[in-house]
Amino acid sequence: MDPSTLGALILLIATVVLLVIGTPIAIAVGGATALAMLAIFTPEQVALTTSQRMFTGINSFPLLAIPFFVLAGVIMNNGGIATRLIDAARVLVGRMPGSLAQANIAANAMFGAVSGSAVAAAAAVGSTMAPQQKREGYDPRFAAAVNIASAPAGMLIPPSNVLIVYSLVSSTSVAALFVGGYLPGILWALACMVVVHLYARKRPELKVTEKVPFGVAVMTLLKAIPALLMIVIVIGGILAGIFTPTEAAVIAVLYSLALAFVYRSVTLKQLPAIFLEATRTTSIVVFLIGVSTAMAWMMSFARVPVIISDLILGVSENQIVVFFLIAIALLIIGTFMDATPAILIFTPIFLPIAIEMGMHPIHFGLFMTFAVCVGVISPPVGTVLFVGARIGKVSMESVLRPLIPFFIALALLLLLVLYVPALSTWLPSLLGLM
Amino acid sequence: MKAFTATKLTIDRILGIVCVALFMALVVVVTWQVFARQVLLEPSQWSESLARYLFVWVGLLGATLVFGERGHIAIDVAVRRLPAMPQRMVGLLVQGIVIAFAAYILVYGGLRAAENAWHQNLSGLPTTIGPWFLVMPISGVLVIIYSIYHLVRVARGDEESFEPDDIDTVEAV
Repeated sequence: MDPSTLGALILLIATVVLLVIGTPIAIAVGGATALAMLAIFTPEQVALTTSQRMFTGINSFPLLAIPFFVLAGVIMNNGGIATRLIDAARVLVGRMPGSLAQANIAANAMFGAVSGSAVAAAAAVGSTMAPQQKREGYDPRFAAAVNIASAPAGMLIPPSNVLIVYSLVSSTSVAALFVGGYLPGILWALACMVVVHLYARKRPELKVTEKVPFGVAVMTLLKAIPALLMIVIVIGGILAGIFTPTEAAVIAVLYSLALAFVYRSVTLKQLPAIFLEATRTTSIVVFLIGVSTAMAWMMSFARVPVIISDLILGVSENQIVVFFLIAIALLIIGTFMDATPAILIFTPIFLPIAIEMGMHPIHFGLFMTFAVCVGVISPPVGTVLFVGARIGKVSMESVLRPLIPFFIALALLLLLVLYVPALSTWLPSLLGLM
Repeated sequence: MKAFTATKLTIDRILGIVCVALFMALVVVVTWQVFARQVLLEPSQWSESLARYLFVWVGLLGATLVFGERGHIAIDVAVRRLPAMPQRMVGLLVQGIVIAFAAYILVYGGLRAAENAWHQNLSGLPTTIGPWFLVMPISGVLVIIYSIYHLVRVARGDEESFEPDDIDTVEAV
């Protein structure tokens, strides 16, 4: 066996073994990379190359948008911005059957539009909505399922940290991905709303909706405007070419800080704790990005993408079949792995195949993000599922049943996103971004 | 063990302060970059590279802090089904793997990388690239200390072989 094939084999086996025994994903990725490289290089070269790749992988200006968006999200959670968005969502969909569940979905989508993280949305929105829904007679398991199913819409609706990560590994434009994420993200939320509608229609007891006086409704919506202005500043600023995404992210930090100070919900004393929380979240991702960069280098050196592509194309060369196989693979990967590591590890493998079969990298990125997002709400490993169940004070197993209709709706939508490229590419090409 | 725990907590505190300070500096530097270009109309020559290198430091030191809390995401559904004793063995093995990685890649590899780039100039900043690599051996040493700490505690049965997932640390995007 030639050294590079041996390297590929070691990479595969070591990664799987290390992951299964519960090694932190970052160490499993980095350790397997180093082991595989030892089949080809001297121990000194391996240590040097791996650490250099890790360092240069993190040393990227576009990537810096992630800590800033995370920080802005933490500030918004603590700063009374999340509550104002939830209030606005309640007014907007308050007259629909199952209105509280619908409001939860709308709030998750709105939160996604101002922040970069789905888990933050699930935590912020769910902790406010769950007790209210319980009080008004909703099954807490159903309430938790609604919150879990709709939270990842925010990972597609920009700004989105996952899309930033994809843009980095695929060398595509963040602006195009951000704009392209709107339709799939909004469709994700709409799919959840349809499921809730069908559920609530059969349960007249959930139709009770308080009528909000017109003046109060207007006031509530007005109060949410400063928070929603964030979209204009951040996304507008990027599209108008005023800021790079990273600069827009730092503006988001300053803007959310200003709002939080105006609302008097964050004091200077709390700032270190807020920064520390953002550091934790960020650095888990950043460390993963570092080791994944080393692994991606090793994978292309050992020609892993070519091996996998031969394997898939050996089954079929029909575009529809190949895309379908990739979708199934991504769904399975997503159930075991968080969105970020899945994107980092599998983009270098699947993207070349997708491009060869005629898929645009922007379309592939949104499709892939969509697919792994279905994974974050599914067992056995799903961060949103996990956090959402914890926030809703129900067991993870008990939300699985009410989640099933959402899974079905989202899986169908995934096929739509996969086979209708315009859903992902129409908006960015309309704006001349691709 | 008491002294070890005290040491660990001291490292936690110092790392936390350093991370927060560096992160705040990061916000200031990138804000300055926008301000210089949009308001002063004089794009900054140094802000982008300083921000990138500060970011590597925040990222790696922050990741180190998370190792201290055992907060890195892992797929532990399989090992959790093991009986207590084998589970503890695997738990110890995992800490050993973390130590080996930190020693070989972060400490040894990081030192070699720093040495390699020691005289390599960094445009716009008064330093060379090499010293910035020192964050790797620094993180490596601290990760090793943290992992030995957890290894001892797992061996003594003071903490679980695999950390139960924690809401604070699963917020990874």
